[in-house]
Amino acid sequence: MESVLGEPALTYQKTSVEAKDYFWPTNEHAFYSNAYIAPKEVLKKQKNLVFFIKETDLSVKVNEKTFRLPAFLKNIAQHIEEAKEILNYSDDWDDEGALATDSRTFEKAASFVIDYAVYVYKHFSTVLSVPYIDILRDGSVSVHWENGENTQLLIIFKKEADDLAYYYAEQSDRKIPFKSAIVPGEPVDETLALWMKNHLG
Amino acid sequence: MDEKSPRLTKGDILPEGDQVYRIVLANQRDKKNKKIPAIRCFSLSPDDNNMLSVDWEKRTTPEECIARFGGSFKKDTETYKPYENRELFALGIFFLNLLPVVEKVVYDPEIFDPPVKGRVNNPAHSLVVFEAALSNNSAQAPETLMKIRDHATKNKVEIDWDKVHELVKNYRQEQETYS
Repeated sequence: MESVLGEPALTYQKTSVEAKDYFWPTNEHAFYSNAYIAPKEVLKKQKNLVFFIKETDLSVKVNEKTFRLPAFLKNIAQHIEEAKEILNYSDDWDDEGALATDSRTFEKAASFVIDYAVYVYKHFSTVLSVPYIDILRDGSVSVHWENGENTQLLIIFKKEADDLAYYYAEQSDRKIPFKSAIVPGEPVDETLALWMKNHLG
Repeated sequence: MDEKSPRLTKGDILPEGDQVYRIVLANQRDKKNKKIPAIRCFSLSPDDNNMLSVDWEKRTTPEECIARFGGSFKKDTETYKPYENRELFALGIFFLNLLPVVEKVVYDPEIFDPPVKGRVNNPAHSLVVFEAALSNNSAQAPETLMKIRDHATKNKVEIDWDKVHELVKNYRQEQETYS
C-alpha cells in the first residue's frame, strides 16, 4: 500500500532547448514555409499554439560571396567545401594537358547547386541528394547527380562568361531523357527544379 | 593483344567488334565518393582537337598501356609521369560509333623515329574523332560524356601491377639511353 500511495519517483532533466531557441512565425508564409519545419522531437505544442525551433542556417563562402542554406542541406554544403579542392589544380593537372579552372566558374556551379537545393527544399520539402562537383579537362566545372542505378543529371559550366550551361538528365529503367540549358545566375527554372524534386530527392 | 588482327595503317577505321582502352586518373576524392570513373576522364582539353586518345586492344596489353604512360615525361619537363594513380577502362568501338557525335574511331600509331627521350612508341594509339561542333560545353556534351562514362563503368580492365612496374622500369631505362 505504501508503495502505491507514496510519492512517485520522478526524475527531472533539464531540456537542452531554451526559450531563445523558439520563434514565432511572423506571417502565414513563414508559418507554413518548409524552411521552418523542425524535427518532430523538437516540436512543442502548447494549447493551440505551435512553436518551432528555428534551424540554424549554414553558410558557404565561395570567392567573396556567402551563400546561406537551411541546416537540412548540410551534406550539400559539406560537399561544396570539399569540391573547392579543384580550385587548387593547376594547368596539366592530369599530366595530359588539362586546363585549370577558375573561381568564377566554380562559383557558377556552386551557386546552381545551392539555388536549386534551397528551392526544392523550400517549395517541396525535399532534400536533394549530394551531387559530385568536378573539374573537366578544359577547365569547365561539372555537377553530376546520380540517384540509384538509372537516374542522373549532368550539367556543365564553362569558363567563358555569359554562356549557357547545358544539362542532360535521364531517369528510370527506360532512361527517359530530359535535356535543355539554363543561364547561370538567372532565377531557378521551375521545370528543372520539379524534375530534380521528383528524381533526385 | 592479337597478332592475327588486321593490318591497319594510320588513319584506318578500327573494326567495330574491337575495343579501345582509355587510361584515366582516379584521385582520392573520386575514390571517397565512389564515382569512378568520373565524368572528367572522358572530357576533352583544347589540345585534344576534338579527339579522345585511346589504345586499340589488338596492339597492346592493358599493362603496356599504363606502363607507356609511366615511361613518358610530363609536358615540358624531364620528370616521368606518375602511373600508379591510373586505371584502365575499355570502350566498345561499336558503342562509340552509335553515339551521334562520334565521327569515327581511327588507328593512329605513334612511332618516334628517331627516338625522342620521354616519348614511348605507341603502336596501339588510336583516336575517337568527334564532330567538330563537340566541345565540353556544347549542347551534346553532357549526354555524350554521361553515356561514355556509364559504358566505361561496366568495363573496368583488371591490371597486373607487378607487370606494369617491370615494364615501366624497362621503358625508363630505355629512355635514359636517348639524348
